[in-house]
Amino acid sequence: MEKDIIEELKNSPLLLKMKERGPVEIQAPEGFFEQFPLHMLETARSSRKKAFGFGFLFEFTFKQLSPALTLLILAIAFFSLRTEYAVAPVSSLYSEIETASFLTDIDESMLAEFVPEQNLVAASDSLQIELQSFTEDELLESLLTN
Amino acid sequence: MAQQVPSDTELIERFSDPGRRNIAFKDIVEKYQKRLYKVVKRLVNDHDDTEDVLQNTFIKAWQKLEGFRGESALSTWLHRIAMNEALNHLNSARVKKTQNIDNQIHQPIGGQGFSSDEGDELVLKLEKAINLLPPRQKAVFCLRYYDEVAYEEMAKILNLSEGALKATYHHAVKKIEQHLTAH
Repeated sequence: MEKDIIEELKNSPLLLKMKERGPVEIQAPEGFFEQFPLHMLETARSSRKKAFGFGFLFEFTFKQLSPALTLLILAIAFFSLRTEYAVAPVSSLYSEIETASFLTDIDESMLAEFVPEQNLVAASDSLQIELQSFTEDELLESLLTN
Repeated sequence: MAQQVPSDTELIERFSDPGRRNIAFKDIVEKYQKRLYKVVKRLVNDHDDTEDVLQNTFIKAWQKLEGFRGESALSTWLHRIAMNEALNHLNSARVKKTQNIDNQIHQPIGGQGFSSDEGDELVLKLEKAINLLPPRQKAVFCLRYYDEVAYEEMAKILNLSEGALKATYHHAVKKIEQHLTAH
């Protein structure tokens, strides 16, 4: 091996001379190699704990459980979600409407500048009454079309 | 009696057993830390930077060793991670280094480590010339000149063809020789 390297350096007399003088020692600070493996083990383990926190679902579901059990859990989750959406009661539709109005970004104080407060309350009450007078199907159709 | 160093196959086998993983990993670090330290330190010069690069290397090893399929030797695989980490470090620090070039080039590669020729002008000149090489050329030169790694092995470590490595080494030697004769 060394012969090859020397052969390669035959056109570089200075480098050849340096090479023939022997290797240059590389040193680490005293005690470094005694401490490093323990420090490294601690660091690696804590990096795994962090990764485990983020990848818990993946680790647990796909690595620890059997594929059959995983499929069963996924199937149950899928059908329970489907069921929830299929038979959502009217009360949940009201809450969706409330959420929607909350998200429409209309500031109540801005509205109050144009409409007196008691009128707002009355308007809100009449909206509730109006919504309650709808049948489930009408309300659902209205939500879907808008 | 000297403690027997476990073989790579044995270490990998032990690592795959969750109950023995920690000890196996500590043994891997103990077995390879000095070799990798030398290789990385020649490239990045500074001890703290070397420690950072080594730490990243072993963390990656810890995370990926379970999926290690033994297509190459463990030592080649670890060298490959270490070289990639060192080259990334050099590339990311390249702007800072050129601003700070005087400090960098006068810092001897061996740190405190020149056993008998400390302060030798030629040694300092050589190190200055090596530090002026682009990161990949520097890596190829150091692996070949100092660590005497065969091109076949180096090709696996750096993921380059043997022909490309020989050409790179030849260019690096020429540049260094020019620098040494010009200064």
